[in-house]
Amino acid sequence: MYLSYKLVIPLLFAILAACTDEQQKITKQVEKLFKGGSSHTNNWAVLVCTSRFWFNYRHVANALSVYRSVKRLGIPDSQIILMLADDMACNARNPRPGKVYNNKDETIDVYGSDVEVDYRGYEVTVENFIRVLTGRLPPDTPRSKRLSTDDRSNVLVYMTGHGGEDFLKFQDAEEISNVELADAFEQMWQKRRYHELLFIIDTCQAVSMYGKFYSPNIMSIASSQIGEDSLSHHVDPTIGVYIIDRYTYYLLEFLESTRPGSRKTMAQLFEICPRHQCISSTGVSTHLFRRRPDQTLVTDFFGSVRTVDTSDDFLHISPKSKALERSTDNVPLSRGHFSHVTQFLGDQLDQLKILPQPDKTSLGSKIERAASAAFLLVVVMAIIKSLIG
Amino acid sequence: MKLLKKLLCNVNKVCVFTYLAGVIWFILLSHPQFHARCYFSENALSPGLVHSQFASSNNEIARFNRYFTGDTEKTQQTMISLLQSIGLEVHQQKFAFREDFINQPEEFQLKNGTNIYGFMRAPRSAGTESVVINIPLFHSQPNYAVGIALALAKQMRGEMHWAKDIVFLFTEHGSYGAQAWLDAYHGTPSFHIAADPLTSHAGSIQAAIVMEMKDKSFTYINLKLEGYNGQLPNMDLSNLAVRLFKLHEILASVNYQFHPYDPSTMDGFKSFLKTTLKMMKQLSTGMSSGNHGDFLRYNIEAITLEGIRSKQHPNRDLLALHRILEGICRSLNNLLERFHQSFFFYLLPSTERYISIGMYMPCLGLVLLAPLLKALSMLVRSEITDSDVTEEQSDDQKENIDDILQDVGSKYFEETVQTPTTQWNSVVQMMILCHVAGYLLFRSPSFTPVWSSMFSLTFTTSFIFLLVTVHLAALVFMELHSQHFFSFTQEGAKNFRVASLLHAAIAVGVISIMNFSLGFIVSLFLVPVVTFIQTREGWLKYLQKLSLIIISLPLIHFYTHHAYEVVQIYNFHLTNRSWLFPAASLVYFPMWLQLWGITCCSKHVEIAN
Repeated sequence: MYLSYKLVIPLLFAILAACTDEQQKITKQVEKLFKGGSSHTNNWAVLVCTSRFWFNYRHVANALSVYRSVKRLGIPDSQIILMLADDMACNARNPRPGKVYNNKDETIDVYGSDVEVDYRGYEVTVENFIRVLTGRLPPDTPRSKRLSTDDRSNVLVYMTGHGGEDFLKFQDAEEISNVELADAFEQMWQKRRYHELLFIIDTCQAVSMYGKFYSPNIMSIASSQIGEDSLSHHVDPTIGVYIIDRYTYYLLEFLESTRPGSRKTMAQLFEICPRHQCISSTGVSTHLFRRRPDQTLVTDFFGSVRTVDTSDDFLHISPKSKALERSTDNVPLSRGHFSHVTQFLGDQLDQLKILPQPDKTSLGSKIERAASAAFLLVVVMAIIKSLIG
Repeated sequence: MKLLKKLLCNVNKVCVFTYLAGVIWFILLSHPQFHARCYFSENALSPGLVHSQFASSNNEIARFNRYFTGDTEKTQQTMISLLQSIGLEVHQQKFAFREDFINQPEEFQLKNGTNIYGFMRAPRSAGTESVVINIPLFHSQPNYAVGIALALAKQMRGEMHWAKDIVFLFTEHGSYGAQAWLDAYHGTPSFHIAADPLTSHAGSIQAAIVMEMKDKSFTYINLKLEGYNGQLPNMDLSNLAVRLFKLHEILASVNYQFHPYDPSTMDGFKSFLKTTLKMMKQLSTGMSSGNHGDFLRYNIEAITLEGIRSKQHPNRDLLALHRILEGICRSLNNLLERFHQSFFFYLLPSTERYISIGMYMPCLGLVLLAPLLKALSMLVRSEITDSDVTEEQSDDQKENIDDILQDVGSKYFEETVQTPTTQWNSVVQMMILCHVAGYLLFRSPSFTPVWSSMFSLTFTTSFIFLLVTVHLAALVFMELHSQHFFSFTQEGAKNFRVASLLHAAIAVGVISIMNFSLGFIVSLFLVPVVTFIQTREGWLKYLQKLSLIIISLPLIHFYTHHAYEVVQIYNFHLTNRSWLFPAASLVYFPMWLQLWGITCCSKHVEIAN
């Protein structure tokens, strides 16, 4: 009996030590899983085609092709906002009714029966676009028309149409300027509506549209410089229209070989469509983006890739654990200093001492504490009793 | 002030300079350095991007054409049955018209005609817009474009990418048939055509293509653009046709002139100038060169394609034209709005170059500046000289018995004051008289039957004689009686000249706003005469009279005789097509008569009564 008691305690301690060791190993594994990659948890896409009319067929084909790629790489329809004038497939002039093609081989019908256009026809306006981005929609807007992103969402914004210096034309009736767009993105940042944002624009003089951005974590790609026109790629002579633009053609070529688990980086994406192929020079802006492009995966924006692993073990994750760290937090921005509004308004008000301090101890926690204290007391009593005899 | 005085002293030289500047500017516009290449303003057209469907063949076109040689009655029955077999919605419209108002006896003769039209309804669209393909049927020979239209109709029936209704319109009697159909379509009756209402309509007509093929093959296609009274279709339609011709390697001409092989040489320049002048000649008559003129009056952009065959050169078959027509229709199909982007007022030095209104109007402005400057100088000078004269009088203080009497207050002195208003009264009376003469000339053709019965002449001859008689009568009356009715003092003559100059400049300006070619050509020969005409004596007087006779109406018609007969011009007026006759009789003739009146006055310094 005496011997057993003498053995139990060290054994207990040994077991406890072993357990914590195991836990530390698992925690380290978990941290390794989250390290280095992006710390986003969901992906959204906003794909906008700002043109209507039959001779702008290629813009609709552009937007639909990117839609197809993004769906194929995993982003579900519920997380894609597709804004099109949608007057191509069922246009009386379309010799292929109900179909929209992005290549003169006419092999892929990018319209199909499972396309979900969220904003169609005359709903594609500047007002609706900015409302979608900032979330200021009327309360009866259905969920499919809302961009319900949070602070861990990576958002892809792709825009195509006719543009000019510092503006983009919406449906032959209005324009959005680069300042408005930059402000919309800043509103998104302040409301924590994105984690990281990739902005791709395929219009004439596209670089001017991202020139005024000032919110963090935005990476921008444009298909042409100021003073240059983005050109279309080729004609489909059986339909009688220009069928796709050059930049989007090469973007699709790049994405075709991308699978959901691909390790291709954004740096590789920047290389597509060089001047000798595209006639216009692409523009890239990464000064607002905190990670390095050669460490950012293409699927961080174009796909919806989850890092998932299973374990039966108990994990201890503290608020200060590395697993909760954002990949972007510790990396200083190369330019400018942005101070954020704190996430919870309550903290801010605390600091101003307007509201009374809430009572931090509740009944449940009291009972918990009492129970654990009682348990410890029992264990200690048992040990002492065994020692005494 | 000094500049003004300098201008007034040298006004004649300045007038000559501006006139020559205007003429030289206009000639220089035909040089490739000073005009632009044609370009597309409407991007929605996407010309030539789509391939032709090749659904027809030469055999089919020839087969269709074989039905249509022979008399009109059988032709029309065959056409109706063929169109129905193709599957179009076929209708007929009967109309009657009176063509010739002079050459017929008192009980006027009506001619009858039938238009046949078939609708190819848009398969997937509401059919609110339509495009018309008009094939005019000739009396003496078949129009081989019928085969092309039928083959195209058959092809179109099998396709479902047509967003507009296509109307295949087969008209008779040239412009009268087209006018009858359009009148009935839009509900606007003309007084010389009695047209049955249409049993069915298509959508609002956006554009029309008229095709005339007098032979089974062609060497080149001539593009005819001129409408009535200087109206032209939108240049994009012409550019569309030219682009498609180029794509299919067919030779195209405008006014039977081709684009020069080497534009930068002297030959190229001459070719451009010749084409421009030819276009101006056709435009100045105010008559359209084809059925498209009738469409243009309803704001429907239209052109005529005429196939010309030259036996010495290689020919193309009709299938090529079929593809072109299909290509034009495909481009028109893409349109969402009417033509509004490109020019409506232009001159074409060739199929690929254009001169816009902004380039050619200043020429006219410069030419018309001459009479305006002259009038201005005369007005200003008379004021300056008046003030000089009064100063002289007050300085010299000549004693006049009348003045002394006036001072004394006697009632025996004669009022010898010249009231300037009297002179203006005379001017106005003279102008009214000239315009009455013009009105007489305008109304005189209604007396043709009386004349022809009185002098036993044919109607045409009596018509011409009537016009010439009225002209001569006015001329002689002015010559003999101008001294009796109107005597002008020097100042009065000057005022009359000023009035004539202003009248000429404004009238020609207004005419050229409506029909630039007519206005410019008139101004070219009128301005030198009107600027330098004044009351002279001696041999200069007779020189002036001679120059006026040279630009008188009968002689002008004699120079341009090969265009249209006088009777035809009068008929154009009556059938509400070209307003050349009213312009000549109501505007030009009074102006000319006033100038004649100036030459008839002699330099008397008389007191007017």
